[in-house]
Amino acid sequence: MTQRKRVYDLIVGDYKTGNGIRITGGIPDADGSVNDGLQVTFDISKTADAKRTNGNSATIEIYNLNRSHIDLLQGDYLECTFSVGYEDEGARVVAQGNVVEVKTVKRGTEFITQVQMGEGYSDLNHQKLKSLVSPGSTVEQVIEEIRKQMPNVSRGAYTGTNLNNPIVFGWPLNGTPQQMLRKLAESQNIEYSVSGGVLNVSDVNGLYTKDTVLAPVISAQTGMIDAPFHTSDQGRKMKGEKTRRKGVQFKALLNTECIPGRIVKIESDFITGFYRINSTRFSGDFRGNEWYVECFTSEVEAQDLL
Amino acid sequence: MIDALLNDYIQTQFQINMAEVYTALPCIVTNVVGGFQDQRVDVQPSINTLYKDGTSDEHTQILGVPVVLPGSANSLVSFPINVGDTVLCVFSQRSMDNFKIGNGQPTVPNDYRKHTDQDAIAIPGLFPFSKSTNRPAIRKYPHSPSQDLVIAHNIASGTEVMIQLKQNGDMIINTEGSVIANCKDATMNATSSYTITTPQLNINATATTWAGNITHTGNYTQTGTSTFNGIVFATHKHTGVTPGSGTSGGPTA
Repeated sequence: MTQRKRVYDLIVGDYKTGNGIRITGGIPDADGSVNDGLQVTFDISKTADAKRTNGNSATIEIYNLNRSHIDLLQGDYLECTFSVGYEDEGARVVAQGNVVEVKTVKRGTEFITQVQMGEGYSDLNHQKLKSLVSPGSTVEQVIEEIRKQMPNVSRGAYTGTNLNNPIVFGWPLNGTPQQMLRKLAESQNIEYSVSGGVLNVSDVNGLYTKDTVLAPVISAQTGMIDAPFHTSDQGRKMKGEKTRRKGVQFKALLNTECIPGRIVKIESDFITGFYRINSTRFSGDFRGNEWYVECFTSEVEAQDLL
Repeated sequence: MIDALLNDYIQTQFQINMAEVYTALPCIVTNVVGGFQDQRVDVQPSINTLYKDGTSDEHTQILGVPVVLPGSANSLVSFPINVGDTVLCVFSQRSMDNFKIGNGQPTVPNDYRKHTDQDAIAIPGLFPFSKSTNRPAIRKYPHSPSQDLVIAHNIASGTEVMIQLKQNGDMIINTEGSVIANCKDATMNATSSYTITTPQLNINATATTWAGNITHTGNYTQTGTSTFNGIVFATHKHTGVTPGSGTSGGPTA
C-alpha cells in the first residue's frame, strides 16, 4: 500500500427526501478526468467507550461550496458518510451518521461550510425506549433490545464475559438508546460504540476480535510518525484492576484501519507489541500537510488473546 | 466567552446526568407477588417521563420491589398491599439484587449501577390528597384526623374495623364483626365502672366467683343448685309454720 495521492468522498443527503450531494476529491470522474476536488479539512474522533462521551463525532469543513449545496445542507439530521484514504486503496468510511449542525462562515475570500456530525446520532438520541427486559435475561439480550429500537444501527461484535451477566429482576428501558446504553455500560462495566452504523460492545479494554493476523502494523515503514510513547490513559483505574493496562499513544499517516476496538501491532525502537485501540483521531487537510491518525491504545496481554 | 461556554456545557451535562439519577418517586402497585408473604410487589412510577420536546411516556414496570413494613426479625406490623395502591419508592444507591435474594448480611453488589430505577424500595401510605384514606367522609366509623390515633382496616367497606385512641384518653374498638381475645389470663381494671351492653351475654366458666354486691333487675332462670347461706334454694323448708295468715319461721335445709 502506498500512502500517497489522497482521496476523499463525502456524501450528505436527506434520507427522507432522497436529496443529497456527493463531493469527492482525488477520485477520477466517471469519464476518467482528474478531479482536484474542493478543499476539505476534517477532524474525527472515535472511541471504543462511548459511555463517557456523546459518541463518535466528526467535524468536516468544505471550502467554497456552491449556493445550492449550502442550501441543501440546511435540512435536519441529514445522513452523512465521509470516506478518506489514498488513491491505491480508495476512500474508506471513517464516519457515518447524522449531521448535527451546519454553518457557513467567511474567512478571507473563502466561504467555509462546517459540518458537524455524530455517528448514529439520530438513532441514539431521537428514539424513545419504553419496554422491560424480562427477568432471567442476560446483559447481551438487553443490548439487543436497545439496538432493535435503533433502525439504522446493525449488530456488530458483542464480546466479553460481562455480556452473560444475568438480569435478576428485569431491566426497565425508559429513555433514549444512548441513555440506556450508557446506563447499562456503566453498571455492567462494558464499553459500547456506534461506528459506521454498527453497534460494538466489549468488556472494558476488550477486543472485538482476537485475530492478530489481520492487525495493521504501525511502524516507520507503514507511516508511523515520530515514536509511540506511554501514556497514563489508564491512570484512573485502580491498581490491581484486571483491565488496567499500559497505555501507548502513537501518530501515523492516516490509516483507516485504525478503528477503536481493533488490535494493532506497533513496531518501534522502544515499544513493540500488540495493542488495542481505545480511541482514534483522524485529522486531515486535503491540500495541506495534515493527513494523520492518532491513537490511544492499551497493551494486549497474552491471556487476552486466549 | 470560552469560560461562559464551558460553564454552560458543564451545567448542561450536570443536568443531563442528574436526570438519570433516581431518588424517590410515587408509584402504583401493579402486582402483589406470592400473596405478599415475601413483602414483594411490582410497581409502576406514577409520574411519567417528560421529554424536552414536550412529549411524555409512562414508565415501565419495576419488578421485584421489597416493601417496608414497620418491623424487625421478631416483630411486625403487617397489613395487605393491593394492586392499585400508591407507594413511595426510594431508590438504593447500589444494586440491591444480591441483597434481595440474600440473607441481609453484607454482600457484594452484582453490578456497578447506582441510583437506578430497578433498585426501588416501596414505602406504603403515600396518597394523592384526594385519595387520602384519612378522610372521615369515606370512613364507616367517625374519627378526628387531627386529634385521634386510629388503626383502621377494610376502610370504606362494610367490614371496616377500627381501633381509636382519642385525644381525651378514650380507647374505642369499632367493628361489626367479632372481638376475640385469646390469652391465658385476662384482667380488666376499671376504677369507676364497667358496663356491658349486649342483647345476649354468655359466660362459659367452670366456676365463677363474684366479690361484692349484686343488684339484678329482671327474671332469673337457673338450673342446678342455688345455695344461700348453706341452704339449698330449690328444696329448702321453713320452720315454725302456722296455719292462716301467720308468718313462718326462717328457711332451713
